Amino acid sequence: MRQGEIMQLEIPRSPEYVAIARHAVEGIARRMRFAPNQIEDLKLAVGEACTNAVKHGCATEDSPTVEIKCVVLPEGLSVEIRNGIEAGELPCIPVKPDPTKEGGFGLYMIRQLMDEVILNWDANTAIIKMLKKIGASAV
Amino acid sequence: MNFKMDVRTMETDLPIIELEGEVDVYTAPQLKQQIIGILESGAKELVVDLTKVDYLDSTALGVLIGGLKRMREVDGNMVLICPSPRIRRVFEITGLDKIFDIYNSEEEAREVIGKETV
Repeated sequence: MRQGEIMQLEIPRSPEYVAIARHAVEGIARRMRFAPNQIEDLKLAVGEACTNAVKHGCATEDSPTVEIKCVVLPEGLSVEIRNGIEAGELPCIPVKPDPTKEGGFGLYMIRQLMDEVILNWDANTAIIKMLKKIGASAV
Repeated sequence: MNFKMDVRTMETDLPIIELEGEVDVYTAPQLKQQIIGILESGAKELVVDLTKVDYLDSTALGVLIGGLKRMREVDGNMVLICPSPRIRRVFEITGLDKIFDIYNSEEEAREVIGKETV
């Protein structure tokens, strides 16, 4: 795979499609020769981001689906997940998740698993941009 | 989607849920229903075997936490069998390895649970 190459996937905002997204990113990471444990990190982070999009997002005119964009970079793989949201929703990454609660782990896990995470929430769209560096380990 | 769930009873009459494949936002609701069913049958202890699980996400963690809380509300317990370092890591990075009793094998779990119930 060459640097700068872009791969994009669009999935319906439904739980059964989350696996398709994470397996697609897994395939890209394998071709890029990420280490097996890094591929697992990527799969989990992408799965969590897509799960958030499916659970908390909503179909808007601009973003009726969940969009996954992968970019091959010199330092690793960038993955951007974009979905529609209702105005006013703001993300919050807990410093440490509450282990007695049944939710709230997704964004925390993403931050632990990836080397860089940028959240961009505007009035109608949520974007999570993540980078996994080849050879580096986030945790 | 690769997911399978079986329920059986160990020799000690303990129910054990054996999971296989990917437990995620799509498949975890099936696990939740199974745990609720076992709770409603009056069981106070439950073993969830993750030996054959190769992917586990935060939705599955939430279901397991819910099951554990409900078991402990009736002075029971839910323990996990998880020999896979990959799956254990999900519990470690979220701090849930300190909340759940996690064992490497059914034999190990049975030995400890057996002692607790005597």
